[in-house]
Amino acid sequence: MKVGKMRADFGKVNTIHNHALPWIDRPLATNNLVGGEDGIDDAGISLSHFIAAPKGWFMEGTAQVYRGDSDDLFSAYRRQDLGVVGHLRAYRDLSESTNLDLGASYARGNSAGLATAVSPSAFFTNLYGADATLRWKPLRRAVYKNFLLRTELFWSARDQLSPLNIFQTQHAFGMYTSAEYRVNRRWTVGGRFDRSGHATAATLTDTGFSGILTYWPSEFSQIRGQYRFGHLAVANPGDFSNANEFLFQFLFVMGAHGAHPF
Amino acid sequence: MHRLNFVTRLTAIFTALAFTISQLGPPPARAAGKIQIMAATTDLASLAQEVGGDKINVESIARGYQDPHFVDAKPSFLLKLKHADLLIVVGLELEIGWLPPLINQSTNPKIQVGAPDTWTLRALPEF
Repeated sequence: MKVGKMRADFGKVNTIHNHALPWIDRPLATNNLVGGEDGIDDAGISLSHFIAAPKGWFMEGTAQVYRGDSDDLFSAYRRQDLGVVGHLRAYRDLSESTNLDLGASYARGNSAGLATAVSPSAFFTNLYGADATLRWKPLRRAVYKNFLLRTELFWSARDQLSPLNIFQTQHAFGMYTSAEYRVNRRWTVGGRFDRSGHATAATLTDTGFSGILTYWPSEFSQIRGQYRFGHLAVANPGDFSNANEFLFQFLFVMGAHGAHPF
Repeated sequence: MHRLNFVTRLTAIFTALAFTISQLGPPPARAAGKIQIMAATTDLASLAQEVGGDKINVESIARGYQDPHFVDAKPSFLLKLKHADLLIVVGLELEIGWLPPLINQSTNPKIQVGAPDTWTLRALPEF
Protein backbone atom coordinates (compact mmCIF):
# COMPACT_ATOMS: atom_id res chain seq x y z
CA MET A 1 0.00 0.00 0.00
CA LYS A 2 1.23 3.51 -0.83
CA VAL A 3 -0.18 6.84 0.30
CA GLY A 4 0.83 10.29 -0.94
CA LYS A 5 1.47 12.12 -4.18
CA MET A 6 2.58 9.75 -6.90
CA ARG A 7 2.50 9.04 -10.61
CA ALA A 8 -0.54 6.88 -11.27
CA ASP A 9 -0.08 3.27 -12.30
CA PHE A 10 -1.66 3.90 -15.71
CA GLY A 11 0.28 2.12 -18.47
CA LYS A 12 4.07 2.31 -18.60
CA VAL A 13 5.23 5.76 -19.60
CA ASN A 14 2.98 7.50 -17.05
CA THR A 15 4.84 5.75 -14.21
CA ILE A 16 8.32 6.79 -15.39
CA HIS A 17 9.98 9.97 -14.09
CA ASN A 18 11.30 12.38 -16.72
CA HIS A 19 14.96 11.61 -16.05
CA ALA A 20 14.39 7.87 -16.51
CA LEU A 21 12.59 8.08 -19.88
CA PRO A 22 14.28 6.57 -22.94
CA TRP A 23 13.47 9.82 -24.82
CA ILE A 24 13.84 13.53 -24.05
CA ASP A 25 10.13 14.29 -24.53
CA ARG A 26 7.00 12.30 -23.82
CA PRO A 27 4.94 10.66 -26.59
CA LEU A 28 2.24 12.69 -28.36
CA ALA A 29 -0.44 10.39 -26.90
CA THR A 30 0.68 11.33 -23.37
CA ASN A 31 0.47 15.02 -24.16
CA ASN A 32 -2.87 14.78 -25.99
CA LEU A 33 -4.76 12.21 -23.93
CA VAL A 34 -3.07 11.37 -20.63
CA GLY A 35 -2.68 14.63 -18.76
CA GLY A 36 0.00 16.47 -20.72
CA GLU A 37 3.64 16.64 -19.67
CA ASP A 38 3.00 15.61 -16.06
CA GLY A 39 0.59 12.76 -16.83
CA ILE A 40 -1.74 11.43 -14.16
CA ASP A 41 0.08 12.66 -11.08
CA ASP A 42 -2.00 13.21 -7.97
CA ALA A 43 -2.32 12.64 -4.23
CA GLY A 44 -4.10 9.48 -3.19
CA ILE A 45 -3.88 5.91 -2.02
CA SER A 46 -2.68 2.84 -3.94
CA LEU A 47 -3.23 -0.82 -3.18
CA SER A 48 -1.42 -3.61 -5.04
CA HIS A 49 -1.93 -7.33 -4.81
CA PHE A 50 -0.13 -10.32 -6.36
CA ILE A 51 -2.47 -12.59 -8.24
CA ALA A 52 -1.59 -16.26 -8.42
CA ALA A 53 -1.17 -17.30 -12.06
CA PRO A 54 -0.17 -20.55 -13.74
CA LYS A 55 2.73 -21.42 -16.07
CA GLY A 56 5.31 -18.98 -14.73
CA TRP A 57 3.25 -15.85 -15.20
CA PHE A 58 3.53 -13.06 -12.65
CA MET A 59 0.32 -11.10 -12.26
CA GLU A 60 -0.38 -8.03 -10.18
CA GLY A 61 -3.51 -5.95 -9.76
CA THR A 62 -3.41 -2.33 -8.58
CA ALA A 63 -6.32 -0.14 -7.49
CA GLN A 64 -5.78 3.56 -6.78
CA VAL A 65 -8.04 6.36 -5.59
CA TYR A 66 -6.92 9.97 -6.05
CA ARG A 67 -8.03 13.42 -4.99
CA GLY A 68 -9.16 13.96 -8.59
CA ASP A 69 -6.90 16.82 -9.77
CA SER A 70 -4.48 15.89 -12.51
CA ASP A 71 -3.19 18.69 -14.74
CA ASP A 72 -5.49 19.24 -17.75
CA LEU A 73 -7.05 15.76 -17.56
CA PHE A 74 -9.07 15.54 -14.33
CA SER A 75 -10.47 18.24 -12.03
CA ALA A 76 -12.25 17.88 -8.71
CA TYR A 77 -15.02 20.49 -8.61
CA ARG A 78 -16.29 19.10 -5.29
CA ARG A 79 -14.49 17.19 -2.56
CA GLN A 80 -16.24 13.96 -3.54
CA ASP A 81 -15.10 14.22 -7.19
CA LEU A 82 -12.44 11.54 -6.91
CA GLY A 83 -10.28 10.00 -9.59
CA VAL A 84 -9.74 6.23 -9.80
CA VAL A 85 -7.11 4.17 -11.59
CA GLY A 86 -6.90 0.40 -12.06
CA HIS A 87 -4.04 -1.56 -13.56
CA LEU A 88 -3.52 -5.24 -14.28
CA ARG A 89 -0.01 -6.43 -15.11
CA ALA A 90 1.11 -9.79 -16.49
CA TYR A 91 4.79 -10.62 -16.81
CA ARG A 92 6.67 -13.69 -17.92
CA ASP A 93 10.30 -14.67 -18.48
CA LEU A 94 10.42 -16.21 -21.96
CA SER A 95 14.04 -17.19 -21.38
CA GLU A 96 16.89 -16.12 -19.14
CA SER A 97 17.50 -13.14 -21.43
CA THR A 98 14.04 -12.32 -22.78
CA ASN A 99 10.84 -11.32 -21.06
CA LEU A 100 7.38 -10.08 -21.93
CA ASP A 101 5.44 -7.51 -19.93
CA LEU A 102 1.74 -6.87 -20.65
CA GLY A 103 -0.67 -4.45 -19.01
CA ALA A 104 -4.21 -3.11 -19.11
CA SER A 105 -5.24 0.14 -17.43
CA TYR A 106 -8.32 2.16 -16.68
CA ALA A 107 -8.72 5.68 -15.26
CA ARG A 108 -11.77 7.78 -14.55
CA GLY A 109 -12.26 11.28 -13.23
CA ASN A 110 -14.15 14.48 -13.85
CA SER A 111 -13.20 16.22 -17.08
CA ALA A 112 -10.90 19.20 -16.53
CA GLY A 113 -11.49 22.68 -17.88
CA LEU A 114 -15.23 22.84 -17.28
CA ALA A 115 -15.33 25.12 -14.24
CA THR A 116 -17.74 27.46 -16.01
CA ALA A 117 -20.20 24.68 -16.93
CA VAL A 118 -23.48 24.50 -15.01
CA SER A 119 -22.82 21.12 -13.43
CA PRO A 120 -19.15 20.20 -14.10
CA SER A 121 -19.31 17.18 -11.77
CA ALA A 122 -21.56 15.44 -14.30
CA PHE A 123 -18.78 15.41 -16.93
CA PHE A 124 -16.38 12.46 -16.85
CA THR A 125 -13.29 11.36 -18.70
CA ASN A 126 -12.76 7.61 -19.06
CA LEU A 127 -9.33 6.46 -20.17
CA TYR A 128 -8.43 2.94 -21.27
CA GLY A 129 -4.90 1.74 -21.92
CA ALA A 130 -3.03 -1.35 -23.08
CA ASP A 131 0.74 -1.81 -23.09
CA ALA A 132 3.22 -4.45 -24.19
CA THR A 133 6.99 -4.56 -23.66
CA LEU A 134 9.49 -7.07 -24.97
CA ARG A 135 12.97 -6.97 -23.44
CA TRP A 136 16.10 -8.80 -24.48
CA LYS A 137 19.11 -8.53 -22.22
CA PRO A 138 21.68 -11.33 -22.28
CA LEU A 139 22.94 -11.67 -18.71
CA ARG A 140 26.57 -12.23 -19.65
CA ARG A 141 26.68 -9.05 -21.73
CA ALA A 142 23.90 -7.03 -20.06
CA VAL A 143 25.86 -3.79 -19.78
CA TYR A 144 26.94 -3.99 -23.43
CA LYS A 145 23.92 -5.22 -25.39
CA ASN A 146 20.19 -5.06 -24.86
CA PHE A 147 17.04 -4.34 -26.78
CA LEU A 148 13.61 -3.08 -25.76
CA LEU A 149 10.45 -2.87 -27.84
CA ARG A 150 7.41 -1.19 -26.33
CA THR A 151 4.00 -0.10 -27.50
CA GLU A 152 1.11 1.56 -25.69
CA LEU A 153 -2.44 2.18 -26.86
CA PHE A 154 -4.81 4.73 -25.33
CA TRP A 155 -8.52 5.32 -25.74
CA SER A 156 -10.11 8.43 -24.30
CA ALA A 157 -13.82 9.16 -23.85
CA ARG A 158 -14.20 12.72 -22.61
CA ASP A 159 -17.48 14.39 -21.70
CA GLN A 160 -17.46 18.09 -22.53
CA LEU A 161 -19.50 20.95 -23.95
CA SER A 162 -19.50 21.50 -27.70
CA PRO A 163 -18.96 25.01 -29.11
CA LEU A 164 -22.77 25.24 -29.15
CA ASN A 165 -22.87 24.40 -25.43
CA ILE A 166 -24.31 20.94 -26.02
CA PHE A 167 -23.18 17.93 -23.99
CA GLN A 168 -20.95 15.67 -26.07
CA THR A 169 -18.46 12.84 -25.61
CA GLN A 170 -15.25 12.93 -27.64
CA HIS A 171 -13.75 9.49 -28.41
CA ALA A 172 -10.05 9.76 -29.25
CA PHE A 173 -7.34 7.18 -29.84
CA GLY A 174 -3.59 7.46 -29.42
CA MET A 175 -0.57 5.18 -29.52
CA TYR A 176 3.19 5.03 -29.70
CA THR A 177 5.71 2.33 -30.52
CA SER A 178 9.28 2.65 -29.37
CA ALA A 179 12.44 0.59 -29.83
CA GLU A 180 15.89 1.04 -28.34
CA TYR A 181 19.07 -0.93 -28.88
CA ARG A 182 22.20 -0.68 -26.81
CA VAL A 183 25.03 -0.96 -29.29
CA ASN A 184 27.83 -1.08 -26.73
CA ARG A 185 28.55 0.08 -23.20
CA ARG A 186 28.44 3.77 -24.12
CA TRP A 187 25.95 4.12 -26.99
CA THR A 188 22.24 3.44 -27.45
CA VAL A 189 20.13 4.16 -30.54
CA GLY A 190 16.38 4.31 -30.59
CA GLY A 191 13.28 5.38 -32.45
CA ARG A 192 9.64 6.11 -31.73
CA PHE A 193 6.49 6.41 -33.81
CA ASP A 194 3.58 8.47 -32.46
CA ARG A 195 -0.01 8.93 -33.50
CA SER A 196 -2.72 10.52 -31.41
CA GLY A 197 -6.03 12.34 -31.62
CA HIS A 198 -6.78 15.29 -29.35
CA ALA A 199 -8.88 14.56 -26.26
CA THR A 200 -11.02 17.67 -26.79
CA ALA A 201 -11.26 17.34 -30.61
CA ALA A 202 -10.90 13.73 -31.69
CA THR A 203 -10.94 14.56 -35.42
CA LEU A 204 -7.59 16.35 -35.06
CA THR A 205 -4.84 13.73 -35.26
CA ASP A 206 -1.12 14.34 -34.72
CA THR A 207 1.52 12.03 -36.18
CA GLY A 208 5.24 12.03 -35.48
CA PHE A 209 8.43 10.07 -35.28
CA SER A 210 11.71 10.50 -33.45
CA GLY A 211 15.25 9.22 -33.67
CA ILE A 212 17.26 9.16 -30.43
CA LEU A 213 20.97 8.78 -29.78
CA THR A 214 22.27 8.39 -26.21
CA TYR A 215 25.86 8.44 -24.95
CA TRP A 216 26.93 7.57 -21.41
CA PRO A 217 30.36 9.03 -20.55
CA SER A 218 30.09 7.13 -17.24
CA GLU A 219 27.42 5.64 -14.94
CA PHE A 220 26.92 9.13 -13.51
CA SER A 221 26.00 11.15 -16.59
CA GLN A 222 24.09 10.87 -19.83
CA ILE A 223 24.11 12.91 -23.04
CA ARG A 224 21.14 12.52 -25.38
CA GLY A 225 20.06 14.02 -28.67
CA GLN A 226 16.68 13.57 -30.34
CA TYR A 227 15.38 14.51 -33.76
CA ARG A 228 11.60 14.85 -33.76
CA PHE A 229 9.34 15.26 -36.75
CA GLY A 230 5.72 16.18 -36.15
CA HIS A 231 2.80 16.32 -38.57
CA LEU A 232 0.58 18.25 -36.20
CA ALA A 233 -3.11 19.02 -36.65
CA VAL A 234 -4.12 22.66 -36.25
CA ALA A 235 -7.48 24.30 -35.67
CA ASN A 236 -9.45 22.70 -38.54
CA PRO A 237 -9.55 19.05 -39.61
CA GLY A 238 -7.31 18.65 -42.65
CA ASP A 239 -5.01 21.54 -41.72
CA PHE A 240 -1.56 20.45 -40.61
CA SER A 241 1.69 22.00 -39.61
CA ASN A 242 5.02 20.16 -39.98
CA ALA A 243 7.61 20.55 -37.26
CA ASN A 244 11.28 19.51 -37.41
CA GLU A 245 12.93 19.77 -34.01
CA PHE A 246 16.25 18.86 -32.43
CA LEU A 247 16.27 18.27 -28.69
CA PHE A 248 19.34 17.99 -26.50
CA GLN A 249 19.63 16.72 -22.94
CA PHE A 250 22.45 16.41 -20.43
CA LEU A 251 21.82 14.54 -17.18
CA PHE A 252 24.20 14.03 -14.32
CA VAL A 253 23.89 12.36 -10.95
CA MET A 254 25.16 13.66 -7.64
CA GLY A 255 24.87 11.31 -4.70
CA ALA A 256 22.90 8.12 -4.36
CA HIS A 257 19.63 7.57 -6.21
CA GLY A 258 17.21 4.83 -5.26
CA ALA A 259 16.59 2.06 -7.75
CA HIS A 260 13.67 2.44 -10.14
CA PRO A 261 10.99 -0.26 -10.24
CA PHE A 262 11.38 -2.69 -13.16
CA MET B 1 -23.52 10.64 -3.73
CA HIS B 2 -23.55 9.20 -7.22
CA ARG B 3 -19.75 9.55 -7.34
CA LEU B 4 -19.19 7.87 -3.99
CA ASN B 5 -21.38 4.99 -5.07
CA PHE B 6 -19.37 4.63 -8.25
CA VAL B 7 -16.04 4.58 -6.40
CA THR B 8 -17.36 2.12 -3.84
CA ARG B 9 -18.67 -0.15 -6.58
CA LEU B 10 -15.39 0.01 -8.51
CA THR B 11 -13.31 -0.74 -5.41
CA ALA B 12 -15.58 -3.67 -4.56
CA ILE B 13 -15.29 -5.03 -8.11
CA PHE B 14 -11.47 -4.78 -8.05
CA THR B 15 -11.26 -6.44 -4.66
CA ALA B 16 -13.63 -9.25 -5.63
CA LEU B 17 -11.82 -9.79 -8.94
CA ALA B 18 -8.38 -9.88 -7.30
CA PHE B 19 -9.58 -12.27 -4.60
CA THR B 20 -11.34 -14.57 -7.08
CA ILE B 21 -8.36 -14.78 -9.42
CA SER B 22 -5.98 -15.30 -6.51
CA GLN B 23 -7.96 -18.40 -5.56
CA LEU B 24 -7.89 -19.87 -9.09
CA GLY B 25 -4.14 -20.40 -9.55
CA PRO B 26 -2.10 -23.23 -8.10
CA PRO B 27 -0.35 -22.70 -4.76
CA PRO B 28 3.35 -21.83 -5.00
CA ALA B 29 5.66 -24.81 -5.37
CA ARG B 30 7.16 -25.55 -1.98
CA ALA B 31 8.75 -28.78 -0.84
CA ALA B 32 7.16 -29.96 2.42
CA GLY B 33 9.12 -29.05 5.53
CA LYS B 34 12.05 -27.47 3.69
CA ILE B 35 13.28 -23.98 4.45
CA GLN B 36 13.12 -21.68 1.43
CA ILE B 37 16.27 -19.57 1.13
CA MET B 38 17.04 -16.87 -1.39
CA ALA B 39 20.61 -15.62 -1.83
CA ALA B 40 21.76 -12.58 -3.75
CA THR B 41 24.64 -14.39 -5.47
CA THR B 42 25.54 -17.96 -6.39
CA ASP B 43 28.48 -18.19 -3.97
CA LEU B 44 26.17 -17.37 -1.05
CA ALA B 45 23.66 -19.92 -2.34
CA SER B 46 26.40 -22.54 -2.52
CA LEU B 47 27.50 -21.84 1.06
CA ALA B 48 23.91 -22.07 2.26
CA GLN B 49 23.44 -25.37 0.39
CA GLU B 50 26.53 -26.85 2.07
CA VAL B 51 25.25 -25.86 5.50
CA GLY B 52 21.58 -26.67 5.00
CA GLY B 53 21.94 -29.83 2.91
CA ASP B 54 18.59 -31.49 2.21
CA LYS B 55 16.80 -29.40 4.82
CA ILE B 56 16.66 -26.37 2.55
CA ASN B 57 15.79 -25.19 -0.95
CA VAL B 58 18.11 -22.42 -2.00
CA GLU B 59 18.20 -20.25 -5.09
CA SER B 60 20.26 -17.23 -6.10
CA ILE B 61 18.98 -14.11 -7.82
CA ALA B 62 22.13 -13.16 -9.74
CA ARG B 63 23.76 -15.81 -11.91
CA GLY B 64 27.44 -16.64 -11.54
CA TYR B 65 28.29 -15.14 -14.93
CA GLN B 66 26.35 -11.94 -14.27
CA ASP B 67 27.71 -8.67 -12.89
CA PRO B 68 25.98 -8.46 -9.46
CA HIS B 69 26.01 -4.65 -9.65
CA PHE B 70 23.65 -4.65 -12.65
CA VAL B 71 20.85 -7.11 -12.00
CA ASP B 72 17.34 -6.34 -13.27
CA ALA B 73 14.69 -6.36 -10.53
CA LYS B 74 12.43 -8.67 -12.57
CA PRO B 75 8.94 -9.39 -11.22
CA SER B 76 9.67 -13.12 -11.45
CA PHE B 77 12.05 -12.65 -8.50
CA LEU B 78 9.23 -11.12 -6.48
CA LEU B 79 7.29 -14.37 -6.30
CA LYS B 80 10.37 -16.24 -5.06
CA LEU B 81 11.15 -13.58 -2.46
CA LYS B 82 7.53 -13.51 -1.36
CA HIS B 83 7.79 -17.13 -0.21
CA ALA B 84 11.35 -17.01 1.18
CA ASP B 85 12.00 -17.87 4.80
CA LEU B 86 15.47 -16.36 4.71
CA LEU B 87 17.32 -13.89 2.48
CA ILE B 88 21.13 -13.81 2.42
CA VAL B 89 22.81 -10.77 0.87
CA VAL B 90 26.40 -9.61 0.50
CA GLY B 91 25.65 -6.12 1.79
CA LEU B 92 28.04 -3.15 1.67
CA GLU B 93 25.55 -1.76 -0.88
CA LEU B 94 26.52 -4.29 -3.56
CA GLU B 95 22.82 -4.93 -4.23
CA ILE B 96 21.67 -1.32 -3.64
CA GLY B 97 20.77 -0.78 -7.30
CA TRP B 98 18.21 -3.58 -7.57
CA LEU B 99 17.41 -5.41 -4.32
CA PRO B 100 15.56 -2.73 -2.24
CA PRO B 101 12.55 -2.50 -4.60
CA LEU B 102 12.34 -6.28 -4.79
CA ILE B 103 12.31 -6.58 -0.98
CA ASN B 104 9.73 -3.80 -0.66
CA GLN B 105 7.40 -5.15 -3.30
CA SER B 106 7.68 -8.76 -2.11
CA THR B 107 5.64 -7.71 0.98
CA ASN B 108 7.33 -10.57 2.84
CA PRO B 109 7.80 -9.39 6.46
CA LYS B 110 10.49 -12.03 7.08
CA ILE B 111 12.99 -10.45 4.71
CA GLN B 112 12.41 -6.73 5.21
CA VAL B 113 15.43 -4.67 6.21
CA GLY B 114 16.16 -5.26 9.90
CA ALA B 115 14.08 -8.43 10.05
CA PRO B 116 15.75 -11.39 11.82
CA ASP B 117 15.53 -13.54 8.68
CA THR B 118 17.70 -11.29 6.53
CA TRP B 119 21.39 -12.10 6.83
CA THR B 120 24.01 -9.68 5.66
CA LEU B 121 27.52 -11.08 5.51
CA ARG B 122 29.11 -7.88 6.74
CA ALA B 123 27.10 -8.29 9.94
CA LEU B 124 28.63 -11.73 10.52
CA PRO B 125 32.39 -11.11 10.81
CA GLU B 126 32.97 -14.55 12.32
CA PHE B 127 31.25 -16.25 9.38
